[in-house]
Amino acid sequence: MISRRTLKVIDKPFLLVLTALIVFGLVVLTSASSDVNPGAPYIFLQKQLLSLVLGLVLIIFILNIDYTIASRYNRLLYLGTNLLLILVLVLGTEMRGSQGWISIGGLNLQVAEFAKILIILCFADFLSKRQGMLNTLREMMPCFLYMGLPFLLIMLQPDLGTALVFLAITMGMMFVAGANPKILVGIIVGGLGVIILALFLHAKFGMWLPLEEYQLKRLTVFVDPYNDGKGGRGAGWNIIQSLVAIGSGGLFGKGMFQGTQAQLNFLPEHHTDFIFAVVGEEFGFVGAALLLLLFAVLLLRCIYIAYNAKDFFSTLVVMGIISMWLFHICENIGMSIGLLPVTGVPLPFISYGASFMLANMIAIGILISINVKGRKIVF
Amino acid sequence: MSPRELQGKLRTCWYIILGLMFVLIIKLAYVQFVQSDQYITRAQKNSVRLVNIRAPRGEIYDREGKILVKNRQVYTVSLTYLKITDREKVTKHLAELMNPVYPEITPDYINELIEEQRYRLFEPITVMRDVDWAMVVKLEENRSELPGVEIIVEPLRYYPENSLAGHLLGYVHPIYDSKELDQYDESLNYRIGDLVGKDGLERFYQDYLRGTDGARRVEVDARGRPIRELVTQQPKTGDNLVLTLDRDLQRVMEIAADEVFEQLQTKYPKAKAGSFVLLDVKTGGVLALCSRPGLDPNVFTKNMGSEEMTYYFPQGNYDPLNPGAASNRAIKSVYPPGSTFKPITGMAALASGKLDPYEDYANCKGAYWIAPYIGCWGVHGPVNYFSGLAVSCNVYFQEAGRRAGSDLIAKVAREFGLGTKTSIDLPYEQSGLVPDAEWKKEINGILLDRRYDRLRKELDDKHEALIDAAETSEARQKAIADKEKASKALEAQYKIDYKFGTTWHPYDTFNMSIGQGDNHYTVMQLANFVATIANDGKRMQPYLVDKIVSPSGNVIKEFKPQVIHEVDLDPEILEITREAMHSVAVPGGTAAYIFSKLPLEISGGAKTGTAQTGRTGDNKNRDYHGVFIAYAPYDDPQIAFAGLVEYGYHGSTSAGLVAKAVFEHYFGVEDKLANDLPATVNEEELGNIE
Repeated sequence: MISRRTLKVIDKPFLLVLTALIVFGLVVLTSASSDVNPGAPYIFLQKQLLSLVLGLVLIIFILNIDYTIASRYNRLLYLGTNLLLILVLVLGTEMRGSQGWISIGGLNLQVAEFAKILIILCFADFLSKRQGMLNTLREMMPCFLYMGLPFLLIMLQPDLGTALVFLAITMGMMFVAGANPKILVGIIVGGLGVIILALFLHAKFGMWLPLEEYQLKRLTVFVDPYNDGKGGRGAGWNIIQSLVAIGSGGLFGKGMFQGTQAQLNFLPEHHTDFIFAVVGEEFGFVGAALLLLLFAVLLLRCIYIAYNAKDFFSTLVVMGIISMWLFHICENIGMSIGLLPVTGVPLPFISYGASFMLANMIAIGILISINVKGRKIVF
Repeated sequence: MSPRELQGKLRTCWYIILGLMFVLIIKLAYVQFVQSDQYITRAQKNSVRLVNIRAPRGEIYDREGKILVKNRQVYTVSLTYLKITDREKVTKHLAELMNPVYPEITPDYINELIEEQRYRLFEPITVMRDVDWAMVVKLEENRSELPGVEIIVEPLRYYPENSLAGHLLGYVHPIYDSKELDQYDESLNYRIGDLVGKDGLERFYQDYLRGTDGARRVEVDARGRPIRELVTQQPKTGDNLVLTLDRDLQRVMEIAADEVFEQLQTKYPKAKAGSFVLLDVKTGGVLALCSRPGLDPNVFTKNMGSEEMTYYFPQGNYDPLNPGAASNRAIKSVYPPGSTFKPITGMAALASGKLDPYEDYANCKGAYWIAPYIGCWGVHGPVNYFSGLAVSCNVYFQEAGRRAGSDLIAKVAREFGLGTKTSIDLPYEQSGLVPDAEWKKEINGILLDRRYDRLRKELDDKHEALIDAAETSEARQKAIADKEKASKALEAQYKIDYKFGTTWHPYDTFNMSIGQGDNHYTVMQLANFVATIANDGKRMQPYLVDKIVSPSGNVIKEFKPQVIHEVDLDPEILEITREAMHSVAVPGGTAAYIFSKLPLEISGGAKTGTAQTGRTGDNKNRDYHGVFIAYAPYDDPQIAFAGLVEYGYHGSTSAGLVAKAVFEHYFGVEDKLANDLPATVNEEELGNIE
């Protein structure tokens, strides 16, 4: 099961913060999901707990295998993952506007969540073999193509949020892998510029964009949520209600189960994508800031794990996970407080969602593996 | 990659993480500290709703505490939208059940109601107020198929006497739209759909009667579903009004009026409208007030049918056969007073010192001896003030008017409150008009200018066309000269017309003296005028509400009798005039029949009138308003009456008969309420009528 050595070497602050986050998440979810299904107020908590237990099993499983096996079966893994993503496009069921779900025995799984972890592993191997050969755009091109395939497949679902996570993973991992930072920054800045220009051209001259009108609206409305054509009752509704929830929470919040915005359903998706608003409303600035602090510590401990990893492959894997979580955290909280456009990206360990929780637990398993097998001097 | 290099890159990542977290926490703090108050308000507005609980309006009583207006608990069918599980089915079923009794209720109608209230779905939607018990039973039997349909018991305005005193009580009706809403005091939180007084006392004392609505603070969810009640504030019933009105006298007046109209209509089909006022001489309090056609305020609390709409609010030109019942004619309609104006002319002549009421006689040969020789309705021979008023001699009063002069007549008329609003506590009162030289100059000046501006333009257009059409320069010269000539002629005519039209002519005075011409007064003004003669020149403020009493019985406001003016005339003149009016009421006078049943020691004074309607399309020889004013008793007057029956022809055979019934009841001679038999009027019996 878990060896004594593992328990001894494991990074205690990391484990502590992680535990705190999970507990925090369960508490928030209890309150946030209590009204979603009035007939069974604890059904979401039960399902989330089940995912957690399943996740623990997965962690133990991962601890007992050698994660570097991924490096050996790299190609198979990459092909398999992409095949899975193609499969889901054909056979998947549509939920919440995305074709990314597969039902297995009553359990709805979101393939892309697992694909993230698998691709991180593949890409880490891919990059580690190109160390020092990422100085020019030409040298970097294969990396982009490598990550472009799953990115496109997820865009086709369509699931913009998750696709963007792939982008963040690519950038984060390539940066640490030694890619030319100027080119990376150039791509990010240029990409943003192109997107803004395209949106401008679309709005002004009706230029064609590969997105539905409602998707576009959802992306741009955060700039001025009341200007959604329906006086804040259309696409801007979620942002407005989220801000009202967080803002009305004040310093100490309204208390568990007392948040009117969430409990009375003014705030949609308050147990999934907008769960941070519940934190802000019911636990106030104190709660929200504590959550941010926990996330910060978690990520910084991951940097430490990355630094102490036994090889470059492992470092890159950790970097991929950091990039993934950082993007999730920033995008999720950013959209809740009106800083970023709304894309359906959940908040790690807090949002309800079995696939997401399981994927994160797998990531934790890999992180712990890397941690305990790291260069740390063991007494 | 060297460990150092890796360390550098990871350090960069470290800072990126911290930097992003910092940005998030700054924005978070901004939202939760700086913008917090604004969002707290928003959150409350989101989730807390005020549901109105209607306060019962105050009740209205007559002077003896007999109830005139109260509230009735009625059954109201309403929809609580969010309990409806299947809207389409429920609305259809409800409409099916109610449609046979209330044809206006259809599924579309109900859906419209829901749509109208789409932002206040937490409040019950009123489908139908005041449904009968059979409907309640029917709906209750189908309860299981009507989720969301509720039958609420709520107070509704109720007038137990139906049309009795309907016009003065007024009526309540919901506020239609936001435009109408603007007329009401914003601080009192009126809303569209609130039942408010629209006319009469209901309107005038709206702010007292309304009470204070209660409220339930209800927490609702995003779909407007009530979750729980937070606080409930009970409604406060409105204040009660105690009137100066005497319900029994009012009833007598109305019964008499209806009999009079019924009888008159056999002869004069147009006699359908009129009004009557009885004042307490000493106080100015209104004892009875009635307007016809009658108004039943109960009709206004519900949706009106088209038949009722036409009865109350006829469209198009004034039609005497369907004159419209909504208006309180006693204060909203102005009429020429006819001969009832003669006491004013007489008093003005006496005040001028140029007429001796006893010694100066006018010899009536059937028409006045000065142009335009306005005729008298009889040949009275030599008459003085007393005999002249008794027989209502037009010749005598034209001469009296000539001696007094129009300015003095107008002044005396105004002394008695004619031509100005009486300021009675009723809305929409008209002021009427005392014509005088100044008024004539102004109004006719405007009318003439308007007419001549049009003529000038026509002339210009016509001649400009001719000038343009001229082919030779000679013809052109001629056309221009023609235009100048025509223009000069027009201006000369204008000067003549202007001088003539805006000058007060002797015949204007003659017309005025006998209550014709441009004299226009309300019946309320006439009543107050008689009352002032009877009250020794002390003009009282006419009023309807004696006191306002809170539901618990505390007097909130009391209205004391109030002298608003003391007539600037020698008391002797008033006494002489009362005596002259007395001569109208005794045998030989035009109103003798009216007082025939009263004991001699009571008697009274009166004046009858037959006024040309002045309405276009009326027959000048047949269409007269019957006007009547009176007071009683003669020695120590207590009550004053004025009444007018449109197209009633004679004052004594129309409005006079209403006065007769009221006086007889007041002095206990005849209890009309006990033996309610229609009065038969034999014209021969009436004797000397005008």
